[in-house]
Amino acid sequence: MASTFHGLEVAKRALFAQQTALSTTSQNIANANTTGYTRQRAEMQATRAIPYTGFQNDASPGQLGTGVEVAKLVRLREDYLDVQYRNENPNFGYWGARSDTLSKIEEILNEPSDSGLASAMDEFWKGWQELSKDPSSASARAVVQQKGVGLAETFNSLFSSLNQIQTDMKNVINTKTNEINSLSTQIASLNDQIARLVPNSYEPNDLYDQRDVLIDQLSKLVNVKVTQGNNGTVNVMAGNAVIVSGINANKLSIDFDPSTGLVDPNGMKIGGNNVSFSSGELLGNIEAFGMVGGGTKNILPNIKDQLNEMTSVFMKTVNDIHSSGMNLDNINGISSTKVNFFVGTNTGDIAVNPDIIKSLNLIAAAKAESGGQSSLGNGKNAADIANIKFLPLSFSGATATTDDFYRNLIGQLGIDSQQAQRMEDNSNVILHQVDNRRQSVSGVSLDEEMANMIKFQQAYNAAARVVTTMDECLDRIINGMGKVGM
Amino acid sequence: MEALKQLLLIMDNMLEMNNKLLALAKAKRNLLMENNIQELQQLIQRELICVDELQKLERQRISCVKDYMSSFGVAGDSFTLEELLHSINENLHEYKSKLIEAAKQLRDVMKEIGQINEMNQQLIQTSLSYLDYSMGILVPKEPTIGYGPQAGKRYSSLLDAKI
Repeated sequence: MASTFHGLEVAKRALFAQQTALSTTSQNIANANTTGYTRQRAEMQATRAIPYTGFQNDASPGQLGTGVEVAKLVRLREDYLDVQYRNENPNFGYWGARSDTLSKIEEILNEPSDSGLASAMDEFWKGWQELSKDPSSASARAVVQQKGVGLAETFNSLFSSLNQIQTDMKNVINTKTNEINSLSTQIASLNDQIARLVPNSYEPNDLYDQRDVLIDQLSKLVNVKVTQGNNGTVNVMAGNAVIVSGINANKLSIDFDPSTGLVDPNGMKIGGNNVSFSSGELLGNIEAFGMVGGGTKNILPNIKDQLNEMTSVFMKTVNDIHSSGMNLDNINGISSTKVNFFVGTNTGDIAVNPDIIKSLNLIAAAKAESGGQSSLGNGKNAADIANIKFLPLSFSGATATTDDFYRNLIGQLGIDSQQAQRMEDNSNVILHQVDNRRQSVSGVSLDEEMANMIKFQQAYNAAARVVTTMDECLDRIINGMGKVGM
Repeated sequence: MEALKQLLLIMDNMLEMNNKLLALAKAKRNLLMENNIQELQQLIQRELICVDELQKLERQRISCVKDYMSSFGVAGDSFTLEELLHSINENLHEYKSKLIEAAKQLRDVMKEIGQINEMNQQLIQTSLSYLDYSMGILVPKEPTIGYGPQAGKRYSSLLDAKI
C-alpha cells in the first residue's frame, strides 16, 4: 500500500527531475558557442514501481508508479562522423604543408621575371655575343665579366634562399614534434581523469569534449586511429605505433641522418618503436625537408639537386670552351696559361674566376687560327660560348639545352604546386561537409533548446501544482477529518 | 568559309553551355556540403537540360566538320581539330587562330568541370558511406541460410517487399 506521503514524494521527484533537465538545457544554451561542445540531454526514467513481490505482499492494486528520475546525461555525438573527420584531416595537413613549401620555392625562383635566373642567363649569353662582335673592346670584356658575376650571384642567392627554407623547415619539424608530444600528454592526462570518474557511473561529458578537440588537432598533424579502452579511456595510434595507451603517452622523436642532414626514416620513433606515417602535416613537412630514401617525394633536396646539376653541366661546358680559346695574354705572347671562367663546386659557391676579375685580358674571346696563333679581332670563341644557349647538353637522363632544362624544372614545380593547392582545397571542402554533419548532430540549436525549456518548465509547473494539490489533501486529512461539529 | 563561320558559332555556343555547366557544378558542390537534398534534385534537372543541349551541339559540330571536310574530298566519320586545321588553307588563317583560341577555352573549362566533378563525387562518397553505416546499424545481418558452397548471406532489406 502506498504511504501517506506517496503522492508528495512522486511530485517531489518530478520537481527534481524537471529541474535537472532544465539545468541541462541551460548548460547547452550556455555552451552554444563553445568549440567542440556536444549537446547533452537528460534521459528520464520511471523509478521502480511498488509493491515488489514478496512473502507478505499486500493486496492493493499494483504496481503503482513511484515517480521519475534522471537516469543518465546522454552526450549526443556520432562516432562515425568523428572517424570520417579524422580520416580526412591528415590529408588536409599534408597537402597544406606541401603547397606551402612549393609556393615558397616558387616565390624564390620567381619565374618569369626580370630578376630571375632565366633572364640572368640570357644577359650572360648576350654579353658574350657582344664580345664576339668586338673582341678587343675593353668595355665589352668588362660587360662579360659583370654579367658573369651577376649570374653567379643569382645562383648563389637562389641556393642560399633554398637552404634558408630548409633550415626553417627543420625548425618547423621540431616544433610540430613538440606539439604532437604535448597533445598526446594532454590526452593521456584527460584519460586519467575520465578513468577516475567513469567507474562511479558518472558521465564526464566535458572531459570527453575536451579530449575530442585534442584528438582532432592531433589528427591534422599525423594520421590517427582511435580505439576504445577501459573505463572510458581511448588508445590513440599515430601512424602505425601507439602514442597514447590509457593513461600513458609515448614520446615521438625524429632523428636526422648525420651525413646528409635529412630525416632518417629509421630515426622516427614513438616510445622507442619505429613508426611510419601515411599522411598528416608532419609527414608533409618531413617530405618537404627531405627524407633519406624519399626519392621524388622530397621537395627541397630534389630542387637543390636539379639546380646543382644544371650549374655543374653549365659550368663545365663554359669552362671547356673557354679553356680551348685564346685570351689576350696568349695572343700577345705574354703568357700561355689559360684559365677557367667559373670556379666553384655547386650552385652555392659558383663564382667568376678571381683571376679574370683582376685582369680582363684573361677572357678568351679568340679561337686559335692555323699555326696556333690568333689575332685581336678574332671573336670566334666568344661566339661559341654565346651559342651554348642553343647547344643540347647532356644532363643525367636527358639531352637538352640549359634553357629547356630550367624551363622543365620550373614547369614541373608549377604543376606540383597547383596540384598540392587543389588537393588542399579538396580536403578542406570534404572537412567542411563532415563538420556540417557533425554540427547537425552535436551542435546546439537554440530553437530546440528553447522549445525544450518550455517543455520542462511546464512540466515543472504541473508538478508544482500536484504538490499544492497533495498539500491540500493532506491538510484536509490532518486538520479536517474527524472534527465533527468543531 | 560559311562552314567555318558556322563551326565557330557552334563552338561559342558549346563554350557558353560548358560555362553554365561549370557554374552548376560549383553550386552542386555547395549544396552537397550543406546536405540540401531538395535543391540538389532541382539542380540535377537543370544539369540534365544543359547536358542535352551540349549533346545536340556536339552532333551539330560533327556534321558541320564532316560537310566541310567532304567539300575537300576527305571522307570520314569524325575529325579532330588538328586534321581540320591542316585542311584550312593559309588565306583563312584568321579562322584558324579563332578556332585554336576557342578550342583552348573549351579545354580549360572542361578540365575545371572535370576537377569539380571529381570533388563532388568524393563528397557524395562520404555522405553515402555515412548512410551505409547508419543503415548497417539499423538492419541486422541475417545468418547464413543453407549448407555448402551455395549458402549465401542475405541482407534483409529495410523494406521487405514482394515484387
